[in-house]
Amino acid sequence: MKRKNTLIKICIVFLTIARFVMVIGLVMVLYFGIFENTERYFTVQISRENYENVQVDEGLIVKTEYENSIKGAELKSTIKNYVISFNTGYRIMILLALTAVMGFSVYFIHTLLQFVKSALGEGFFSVENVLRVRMMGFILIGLGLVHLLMNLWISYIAGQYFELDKSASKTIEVSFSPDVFSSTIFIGLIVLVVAQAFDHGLKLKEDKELTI
Amino acid sequence: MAIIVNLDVMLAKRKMQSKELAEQIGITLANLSVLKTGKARAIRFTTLEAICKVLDCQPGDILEYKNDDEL
Repeated sequence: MKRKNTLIKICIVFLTIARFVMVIGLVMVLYFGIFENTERYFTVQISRENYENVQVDEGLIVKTEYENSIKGAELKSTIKNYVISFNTGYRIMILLALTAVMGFSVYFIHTLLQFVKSALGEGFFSVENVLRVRMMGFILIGLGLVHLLMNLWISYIAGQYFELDKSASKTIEVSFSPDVFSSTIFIGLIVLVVAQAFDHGLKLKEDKELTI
Repeated sequence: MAIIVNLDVMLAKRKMQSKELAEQIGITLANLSVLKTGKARAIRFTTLEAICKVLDCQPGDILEYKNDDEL
């Protein structure tokens, strides 16, 4: 019991630090996003995974019709990803998405912290905790959806402005990775099932307590 | 709830206090209170047996069924 309490207290310390760091991060994102020089570029990383058939040694070139419109865009080839910097056009959209993602992440950590804290006391199986676990599930699903939409959007931008360097060799790469457990949406669904189990546990506990 | 617990009536008939009954049947006063106020979801046969033994009565003297529509 003592060891279990120590583990919970360590978790509480880590989660408190994580929450603090994330709040600072959110404030910094908002500060730099709103008050920094608007002439600065926002950087979007395009993963090579967005291009199914790009090999490591291949390059991307800006489509000729867009050469002038994104003159300010900067295309860097890094080891794994392309870093594309856009100017102010996408600023608000990226800022909103970032704020939403970070805000919900902070709220997720906060809820998790409250949940872990309740494990120290008597009220672990309570209505509040059922709601907390359910909320965490919904946040994870939401974050997964935002991630998915951002990826689709980045793929769209990449496809619209850039094309494969024709001089580079093309190969077809087939990859199969269901990747269910690393997807936030699926983890969220699993958490929702856990919330349902928690709800059932709460009812069993009430039944046990009210059986004289 | 359609099941009425008449424990108060039996206690009054036997001139016994709740605390005394709780001690004799081996449950807490809080649990006996839950039973008396009708908040209990279930009652164990062992508890019912102990109550009947202490109060010298039948289960029907303690529990009563009334149709919800009549209440």
